[in-house]
Amino acid sequence: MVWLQYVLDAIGTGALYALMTLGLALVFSVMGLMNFAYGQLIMIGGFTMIMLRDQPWFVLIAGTILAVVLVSVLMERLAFRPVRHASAMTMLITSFALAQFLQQAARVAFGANPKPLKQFDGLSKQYELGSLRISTMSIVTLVVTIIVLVSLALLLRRTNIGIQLRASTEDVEMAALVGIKSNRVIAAAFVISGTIAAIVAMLFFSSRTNVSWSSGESIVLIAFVGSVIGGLGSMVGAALGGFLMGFVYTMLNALLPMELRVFADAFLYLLVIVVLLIRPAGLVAAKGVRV
Amino acid sequence: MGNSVSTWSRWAWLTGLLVAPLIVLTVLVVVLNDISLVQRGATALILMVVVIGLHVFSGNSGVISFGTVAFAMIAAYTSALITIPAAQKPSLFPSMPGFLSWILDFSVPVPLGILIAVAFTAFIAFLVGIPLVRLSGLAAGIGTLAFLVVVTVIVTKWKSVTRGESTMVGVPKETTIWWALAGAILAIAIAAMYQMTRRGRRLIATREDDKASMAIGISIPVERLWGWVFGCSIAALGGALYGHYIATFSASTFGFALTFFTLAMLVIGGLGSLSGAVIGVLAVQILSEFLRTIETQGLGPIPQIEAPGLTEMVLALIMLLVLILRPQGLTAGREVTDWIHRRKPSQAPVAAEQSDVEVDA
Repeated sequence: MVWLQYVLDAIGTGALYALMTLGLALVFSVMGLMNFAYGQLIMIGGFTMIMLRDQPWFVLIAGTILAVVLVSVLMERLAFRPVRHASAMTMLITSFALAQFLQQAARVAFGANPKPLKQFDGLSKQYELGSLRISTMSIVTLVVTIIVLVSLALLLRRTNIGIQLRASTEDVEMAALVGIKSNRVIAAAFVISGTIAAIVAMLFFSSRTNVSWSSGESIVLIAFVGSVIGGLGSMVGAALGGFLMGFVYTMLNALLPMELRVFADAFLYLLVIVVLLIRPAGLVAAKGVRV
Repeated sequence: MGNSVSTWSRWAWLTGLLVAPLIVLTVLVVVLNDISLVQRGATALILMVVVIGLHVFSGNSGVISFGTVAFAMIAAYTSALITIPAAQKPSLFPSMPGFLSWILDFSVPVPLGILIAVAFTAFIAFLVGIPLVRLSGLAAGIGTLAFLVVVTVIVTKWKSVTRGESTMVGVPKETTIWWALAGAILAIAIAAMYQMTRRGRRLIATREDDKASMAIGISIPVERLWGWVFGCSIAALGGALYGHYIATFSASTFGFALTFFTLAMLVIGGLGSLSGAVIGVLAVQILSEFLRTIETQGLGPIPQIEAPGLTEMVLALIMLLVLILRPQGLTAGREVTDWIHRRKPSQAPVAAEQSDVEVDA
């Protein structure tokens, strides 16, 4: 039964990581940009939660989403649009620089020390199912992940902008030729990516005690790696890659012998290298994506 | 274009033009004899070695590497482990694992230590490179990034050998600004030489057109592996010099921050040219020291602005502006010699062995 407990915990983490990765992969598939500043969006979401801590819950949720989406859209308009046609390396470094800028701006604005978050006692409540424990937080994470995945799938398949988005994912130049406005589609991708980042921020920071200016760093690393091993340009692949990162990491932490447990990250990233060598295009390779 | 210029003369011109201002600046800094200025100059020169290492692989192959800094880290730790006086070692590494206990029994002079560290790191780079060079594009980015994470985790957590988070101390502090200058000159000379030999030209060919280069019989993994090992070895030299310069360091000294900083220098200078690597380091370093001065003591009419992170924030903002306004970097991927050879091609000696190397800058 202890195995089942590990699997349960790993699924919770995996679901959150899958969401995280999806937000990053969406922008990549539309404009070929690996947005390093994505993690900073989640950090900004965390600080917004602190600023809105005394507001009713719906103001907190709406405010956080609004703030993060705003930064996400501004990011695209001011930093990424000018370099859209530059080399992939230049775009990557631009997002690197932007991430650094946002991070240091948060350090200047909120100080170098972590800021405490409001604790939501209801979320840490544990339910017992036989010998299995499951917290409200894991249930909420799972439910929210499923809702976001389903709405994203509906959005991409049923709505006009969603279909345009998918068309641009396939071939951005061809889509432009048949009259799809790239600027609109890319802006839409950043709105969706920002919304997902805000949701991830709320889920992520609900189970943490503080936010610091460096909170976004490790998050983007996971999403970055998850989307590449999952398969660039494929939404299913991204979700799978992110999920696997979370799942394998939790399992490694639970199952590695004590003296090797501190090296869990090293094992995880070694696995990443192995996956890349066997399948350089990712586990679910999208057609026509150059990697 | 200077098609009639021999390889040797091109090499001498490029090396000379890049090295001369460095020598002038270093002498100036030493003559001014301001301690903090000397410190900044030495740091800039050492960073330049690492950035040139990055350029030798990424600049010539067009494949991004987030992992090069890991080799600077490996070399710094290796050199530290073998140069710390044997008398101090037992107290610094009380629980050194048995199979490495021989390290405790000896110590070598710093120059030899650096040499051994670079050779050892080159070997590691070779082993790691065999699989990694097969990746390109973002997969290469992730693969090398994953390697950086692996090395960082090992260095941080393998306390008995690396002292983990409680930093490496007692490392002989022997690097001076002259050593740093020598390192930078050596790195420039080797990098300039490499990109003018057949090996280097082949790697550049794979960057320009991978299919065409394969069609004329170039093996992309082989050429990338050479570039990778050369580049990582140069970065290793920088790392070892840095270790003996700051004398106290930990994994975070060489982590993501340094990776970002060196990559930014390379891109701002202009990816694809050695001149870009050198100019990028100078530009970013001068700018960041200027900002740091304002943050710590104010500068002339500008009052001191005390806010941790301000320097880094403005620096990142300026990098963003350079990237947006000049995505090709300051040199746009050209070498300083391109201008000179274009202006007076006939004055340069005509090469007899033209068939040896295709020169078409």
